Amino acid sequence: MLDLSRVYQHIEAMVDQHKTNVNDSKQKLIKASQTLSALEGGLKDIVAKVKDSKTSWLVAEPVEDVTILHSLPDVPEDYTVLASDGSQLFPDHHEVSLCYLINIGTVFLRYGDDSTARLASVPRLYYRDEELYMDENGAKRLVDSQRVSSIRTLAEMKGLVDIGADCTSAIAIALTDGTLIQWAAEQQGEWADQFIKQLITYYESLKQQRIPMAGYISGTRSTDVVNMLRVHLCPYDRANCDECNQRGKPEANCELISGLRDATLFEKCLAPGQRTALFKSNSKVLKSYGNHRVYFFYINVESEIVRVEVPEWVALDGNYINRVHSIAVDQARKGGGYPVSLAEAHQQAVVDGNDRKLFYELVNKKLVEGGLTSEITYKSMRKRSVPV
Amino acid sequence: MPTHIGEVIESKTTQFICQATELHRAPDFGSFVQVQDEHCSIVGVVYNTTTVSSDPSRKPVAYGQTEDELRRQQPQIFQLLRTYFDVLVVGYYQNHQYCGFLPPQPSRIHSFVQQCSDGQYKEISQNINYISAILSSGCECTDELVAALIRNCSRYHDDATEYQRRVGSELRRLLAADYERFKTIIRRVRQ
Repeated sequence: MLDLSRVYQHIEAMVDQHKTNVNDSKQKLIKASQTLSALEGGLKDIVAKVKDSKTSWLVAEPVEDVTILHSLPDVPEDYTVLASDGSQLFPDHHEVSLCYLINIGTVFLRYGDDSTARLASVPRLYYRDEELYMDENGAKRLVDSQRVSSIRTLAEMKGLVDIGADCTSAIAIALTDGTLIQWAAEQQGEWADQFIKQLITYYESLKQQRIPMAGYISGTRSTDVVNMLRVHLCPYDRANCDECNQRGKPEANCELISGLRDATLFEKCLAPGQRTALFKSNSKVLKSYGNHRVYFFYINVESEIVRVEVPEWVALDGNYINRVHSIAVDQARKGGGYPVSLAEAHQQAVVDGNDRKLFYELVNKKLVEGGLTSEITYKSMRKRSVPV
Repeated sequence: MPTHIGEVIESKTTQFICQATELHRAPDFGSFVQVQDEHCSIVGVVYNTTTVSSDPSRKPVAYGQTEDELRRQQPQIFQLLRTYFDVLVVGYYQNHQYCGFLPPQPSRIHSFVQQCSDGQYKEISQNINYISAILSSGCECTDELVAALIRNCSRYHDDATEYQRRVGSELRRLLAADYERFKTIIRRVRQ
């Protein structure tokens, strides 16, 4: 039970801290905006410096002049958008049976004269030993939340590819919720290779289906572009944090704008509907993405600044990138600030507390019918009903 | 193409609620429908139709667009709306014989609902028990419902005037203590 009166003081202190941060951010924003403007026409130099840098943070590599702003291309009247999202019930030792569930919501929306809407959800239960346990150097360990999330990511992509097979529209895009950069995969050991390989196969399928795909990131906290500016501000010819005697010192040039988010930086300069220049992500995991390496840009979708990530084959195709840009904005408009297709995919996918309860009740019923004992723990029973 | 127009989603002896097979395609107010069960076919009259969001936690909002524009620009919303219709049970068929009183068992959940044929309209409305069933049901718009049903049924009888005279006598008997109500219904039948 939360004692709100006791946490009240903490809330006050937190708000004071936020106030200080806001003032700090204003100064940083002015400096960052000036630095960005100063880079006009200096693409070659900044690319060279970024490539040569060795930093402990992710640095965006620009593909075009960083000050370029692209206007909103004409929004097609007839187009198709595919979207998928997933949710899961993680394995729980305290429940009646050890298993996990992944529910994938898919949405197929065609606009215009032949408008169609297909909303669906496909659940799958994972209960076999080979699905429940991962092999870690010969030792078996129950799958963790990261592994389940990765399996969910694959299922979401498969969902997109499956509905993409039915798409006959000449103008289509596929949207996923969140980043395309599977940075957490590195912690998955050997399985990571298998995971990325499968993921790339799905990206390739969409490429073959001629459906440009994009990861839509609302409320982005990324700092890749600001970090690029920090590299530019570094007084040394080659930014190398490991050898820097200024590292971590507040007076260091790179600290003048540290902590500022890319979205905050672009909030001022992007007019509604506009997108920024294109950047290449330098995340380590992308080395195994081959020609599906991830690029990104920011768009003012009128409600917020969002980050949009696309694979290389989309990024480097003028038609595709304009299509992703215009449809992302239109989708956000149609959805009241967030793409209607992704919102509906989420609605299809979501497994709430009540669904979870009903699911385990059904499992329990079937276990009893099958003459098996359900293995609910005392802890779980106590959580459901705590006597006074 | 399905021949059914709806499916029972809530059922009790006197009434059942159906989800229409297609959005906005509920049978008319005051029309007869039937549910085919294992042993009998339950007959009822549609007295209310509702179109709402399929998810109680998501309320429809006004978009300021025509339905045609919405179909072009927001096609998903038509997948998220459902049309339901409420049916008052007035009788049932057993061994091809129509009985103008309540069936021994209510219709089963998920049974399909079909429109009654012209022949059935004639047969069902021949038995004027439906009038007392509606008047005593306590459901919404009973007077409007009786009037609509009498108007509909009259078309299936060779002598519509004679039929209306017959149901008029029944109405007068049932509403002997409420002449104003009787007149209100009759006015609606004649218009």
